[in-house]
Amino acid sequence: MIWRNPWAWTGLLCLVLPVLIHLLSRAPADVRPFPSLRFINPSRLSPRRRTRPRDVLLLCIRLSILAAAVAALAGPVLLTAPRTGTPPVVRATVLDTSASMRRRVAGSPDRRLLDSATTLATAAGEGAGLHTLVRAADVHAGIQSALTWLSVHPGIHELVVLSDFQRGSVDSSTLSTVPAGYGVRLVRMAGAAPPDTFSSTSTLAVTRVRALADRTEMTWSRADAADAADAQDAGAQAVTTATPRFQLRATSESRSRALAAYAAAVDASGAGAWDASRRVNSSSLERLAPIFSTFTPSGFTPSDARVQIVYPVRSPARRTEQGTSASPFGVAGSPVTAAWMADLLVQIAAHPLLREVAQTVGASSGGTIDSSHYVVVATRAGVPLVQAAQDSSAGASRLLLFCLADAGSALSAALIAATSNALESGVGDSPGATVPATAAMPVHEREPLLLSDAELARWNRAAGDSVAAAAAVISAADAERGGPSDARWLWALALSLLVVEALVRRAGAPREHARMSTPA
Amino acid sequence: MESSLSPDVVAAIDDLEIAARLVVEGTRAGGHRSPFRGVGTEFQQYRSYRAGDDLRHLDWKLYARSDRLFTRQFRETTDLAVQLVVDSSPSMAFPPTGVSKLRYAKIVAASLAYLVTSQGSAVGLATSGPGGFTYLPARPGTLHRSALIARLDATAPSPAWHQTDSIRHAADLMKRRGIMVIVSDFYDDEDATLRELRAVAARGHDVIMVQVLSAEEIAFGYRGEIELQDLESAERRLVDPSTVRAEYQRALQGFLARLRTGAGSSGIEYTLLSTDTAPEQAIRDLLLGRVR
Repeated sequence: MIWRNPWAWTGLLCLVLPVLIHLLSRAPADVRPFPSLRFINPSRLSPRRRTRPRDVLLLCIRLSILAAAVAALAGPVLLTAPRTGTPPVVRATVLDTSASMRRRVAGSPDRRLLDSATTLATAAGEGAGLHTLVRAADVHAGIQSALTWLSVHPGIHELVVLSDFQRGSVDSSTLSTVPAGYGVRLVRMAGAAPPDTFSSTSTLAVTRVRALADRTEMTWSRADAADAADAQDAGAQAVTTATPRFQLRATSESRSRALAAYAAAVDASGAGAWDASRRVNSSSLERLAPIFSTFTPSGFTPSDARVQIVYPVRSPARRTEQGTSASPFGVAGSPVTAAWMADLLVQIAAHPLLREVAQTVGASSGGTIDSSHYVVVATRAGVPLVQAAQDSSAGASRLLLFCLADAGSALSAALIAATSNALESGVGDSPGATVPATAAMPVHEREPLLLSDAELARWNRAAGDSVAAAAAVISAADAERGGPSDARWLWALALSLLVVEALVRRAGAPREHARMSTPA
Repeated sequence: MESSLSPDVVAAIDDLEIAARLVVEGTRAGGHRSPFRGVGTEFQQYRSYRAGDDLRHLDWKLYARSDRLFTRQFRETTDLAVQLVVDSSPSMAFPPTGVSKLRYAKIVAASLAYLVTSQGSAVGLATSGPGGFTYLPARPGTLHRSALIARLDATAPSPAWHQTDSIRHAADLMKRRGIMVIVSDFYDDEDATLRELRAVAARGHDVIMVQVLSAEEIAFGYRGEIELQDLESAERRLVDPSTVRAEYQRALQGFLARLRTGAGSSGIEYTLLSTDTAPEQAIRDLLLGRVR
């Protein structure tokens, strides 16, 4: 049984009224003549009139009438077999239209994730009795809209979310708003998460990064215990993070050539495998200034674009020895004017990992290369750690990132990660962008790490109780019809009780009279 | 013993005289001797012996001569007068339905009057009527009896009734020694009433207190909460009978005991009659008490 109007049960509070009336009613007492009151002590007058209800039978009948009326107002609906039947499936599909969904499907260069998701959404609607498609760049907002729509359509509710599920787009708090009876299907586009992505989450335990420049070999890995053990066996010091979110390898072949060979593995989704040709080696220490790393992801426009991370000469003494350039980087560059560079800089600067690592750098580090250059990231005290400049000489279009930290430092690793992540995210398609003061894109849109399949599986669930769904359907249908529910039986009961009450009241009057007038 | 007429039956007889005669005849049928026998010794006549005649009045010598039983009858040489005082206070109107105490008192009084006059004695009445205190001096004869019963019949509850004054007044008007029968519930001031009755007895009158109570007020068998209204003072009290019943009955029994004791100590005969007792049975008991 369900109740169309459960709030009507609050009417049971009215039951207090008859009780009070029966308690407080002061019906005129039956006056009986008596020869003399001389033998009746006045102190023996009845004290019970206000503590004992009059006529309990009548009171019970009246309470029953009220209770039946309240129950009738609550709109009971008996869920009989013909009524329950099979309620329709009401499905709301949320289609993630964020920027990350515009990436290309792995293995299909001409097809984007959004296209595949749209196809799936259309298919999802065909199998439902009632279906709606919610397009939203913000998955959380889209889910809320879908829930609103589902709440007004009775049936077996099902929520389908089609997204690449970047970490942060959906979380348990979002899904906790989904009613218990609703089914949830989280469908990841592009299959499993790309294996090689850089993390930009804020969960990195930076304090546990022990990356120092004078290490002979430095390795960041996904906390691969085997790799770490191997590195230690080779006499190297493995440097790991507590929860590594990125895959990066920086190698210096010897202490004297610590900065001579620096390579960063950039193998983001869609960027192709790591290209050994981008490994920069130098056998001559004198030729190592400046040391830089160059990124040229495939598919990135303009085609001649290059991003170089430029490191200073390792020590002030060597800088003095060289004496060829006032700049420790060997190149100067000019302020950034290219739109794609500005676009990229915004993302690099907003990368949480880079910002977090920068907060750990001491105040004595860093410095200002050129005050006209854009400060990508600075120390907590505001001292620039990375500045950006543009180099258009020799027909190239290079974005120079002057890193004032050591190439083997955590900041360097974070800068490489942020840069790679920015390049991977596919930006650069917005010509005309300028260097903004703040990030223009939501953080989670730059989030390359995806929610794991295990998390999605945990949140997925089947549709709830079909009986409850059927009850909702019946309730809504009755409400639309405005017709009577099973309350008519209760109304009939209330009317019958009214008749009984009248009969009892009528029969009670002479009985009461007789009781008063005839002593036992 | 023949069955007695129930109070309801007797009360249903409109003619009080007929009712009284029925009661008296019922009393006689019981074979009891009359307590109002003449005290005179002047022989008047013989008559054939009837069952119930006092054997002391059998003329044994005549029996020896004629072998037949004759009873000697005497002329009352003393002036036996019975003065009936019937309480007509409002409390006597209880219960309002059925046989009220006043109706029962009327039947008893009329029966006594019938009995007394049938023996040639005089009977009088003191009660209250529409015009206030009513007094009929004691006289013999059936005509007087009829007038007395008619006056008795017209008696109605009256708040003007004052028991001690009525008793004193009736006693003052009794010109010769006699019997005063007070039929009342004695709900007035008991001390004053007893004091007045003692004064009457001190004058040489024979005083008989006949207290009439209804069965309802003795049992106090009400249920539920009721508001009792005093018929005398019109005062009302809300009572729970189950709560007050025991104490009421104790108080009532104490009152009756005081009356009985007070009467006995003063040489006053006391009889309690309940309205649910058959009138002829009540008269019989009353007369038996006199005989003993």
